[in-house]
Amino acid sequence: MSKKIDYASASDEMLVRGSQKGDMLAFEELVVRHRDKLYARAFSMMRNEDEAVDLSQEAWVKGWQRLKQFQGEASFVTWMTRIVINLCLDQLRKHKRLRTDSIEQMDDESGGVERQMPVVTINPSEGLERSELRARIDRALKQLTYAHRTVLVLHEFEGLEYKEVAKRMGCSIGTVMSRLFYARRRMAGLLAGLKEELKP
Amino acid sequence: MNHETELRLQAWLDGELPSVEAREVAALVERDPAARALWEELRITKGVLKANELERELPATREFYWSQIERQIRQLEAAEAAVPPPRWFSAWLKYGAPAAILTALAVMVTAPNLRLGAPASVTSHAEVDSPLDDISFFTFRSEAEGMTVLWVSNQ
Amino acid sequence: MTTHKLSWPVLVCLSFLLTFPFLGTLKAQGGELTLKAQLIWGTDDAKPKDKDLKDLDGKIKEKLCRVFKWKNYFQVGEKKVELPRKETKRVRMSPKCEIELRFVDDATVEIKLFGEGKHTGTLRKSLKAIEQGELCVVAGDDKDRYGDAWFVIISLAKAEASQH
Repeated sequence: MSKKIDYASASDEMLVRGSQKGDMLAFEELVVRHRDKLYARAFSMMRNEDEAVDLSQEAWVKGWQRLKQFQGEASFVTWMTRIVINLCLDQLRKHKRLRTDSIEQMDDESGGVERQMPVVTINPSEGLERSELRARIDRALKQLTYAHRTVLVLHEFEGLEYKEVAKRMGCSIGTVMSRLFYARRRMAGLLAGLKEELKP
Repeated sequence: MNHETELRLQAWLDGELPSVEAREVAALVERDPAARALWEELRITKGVLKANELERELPATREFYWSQIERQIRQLEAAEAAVPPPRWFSAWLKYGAPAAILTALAVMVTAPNLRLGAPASVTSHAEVDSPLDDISFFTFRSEAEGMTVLWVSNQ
Repeated sequence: MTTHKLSWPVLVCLSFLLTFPFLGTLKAQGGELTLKAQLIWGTDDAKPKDKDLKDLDGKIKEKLCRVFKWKNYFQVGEKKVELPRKETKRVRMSPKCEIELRFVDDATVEIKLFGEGKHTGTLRKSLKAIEQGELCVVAGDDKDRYGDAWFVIISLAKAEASQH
């Protein structure tokens, strides 16, 4: 890629090809384009601004190092997102944040907590502006443990199947299912409760 | 409804149940109001979450963020370029390589019991197998490196 | 790279010195076979400080570098296995990885890999190939670390090691 190329107008595919040949300017454009998404994914998992910035930067550096391995089997941003997810999971494991405490784990496995939660019958999104709903969801996510939030992020936001979530989190499919169930029910309760608070 | 049934309900919602089980769960949702209510809650929650992840902006300027990434890349590349080959490697090239060649010749001359034969007939045969359905594998042999590889991966 | 000339007598002597261990190993053909099993971690990351890893033998590392894509290879563990003709030997390479070795017949060695207790794969190789220095490699993606890989390499142990 020559310096005359309009990087801002180039497609991701062109920029990736240029980056694979060592064009740092092409790679910079990819970073500019997708930095928010990568940062947002890191933040959703780490819930800490500084950590999310560091991990997203580390993901970009790893992406540069592994560019030759990128064959276009998925989109570039999907490929990069997988890298940042794995870095976040490594970090969470390193600091033992993916372990649930024993009581919570027993509840997960037996379904004890969920039995006490009444089924939510209202749609929490009704009557809310989208931006407000998103903010509420984000605040509710913050109240989950790392383990429950990670399962939700990987399954609901990244669209990974149970098996893939289990592989990445290093746990059984049964644990994934239980955690997802608990997380969803808790979110339903939290969102319904928040909606109730809004009523005059 | 026990916890296992609740998880099957969820798995049906997520499209993770085999078709036979999926039909059973569908029938349960049809006839059992409690199952239907729970399924409805899970369905709505799933829908609300999927479409409404909060978008976030990186809390750093383009220049600052990129400059740190670029610096790390340059540092790594400089570190890789600066690593010299170990001394033993140079020594091996000087002394070991000629000796190794002569060793091979010496073996052929001094060990009449050895029937080396053509390498391909001795070394190319390798049987591989994997008994698990969820494991796929492939095998290859590198003639140059004298290596047979069985690569297993989880499907 | 500089070259260095050695006199012919020195080279011939070196050749014989290097030949004897090899012949000694071949003499073990009728009895036990001494194998070396190595568990290796392939990664693009630098060697972590907090892990008990050894640097890999140069020759094997070079082979791996030429065949596979990772930048670094670290030895997680190594075991020597004395394999008699009529026995099966099971070796634990790590808490999640075991291998089972046996002679299928006089000319064939079988390597079975067990991951977390489950039989994952089998590789059979001719005894002659192994004695000639062929490496038998069973490998796969590291499911705990994205992008990394593990390798179990079975090779002939050096003759002096079999005396241990």
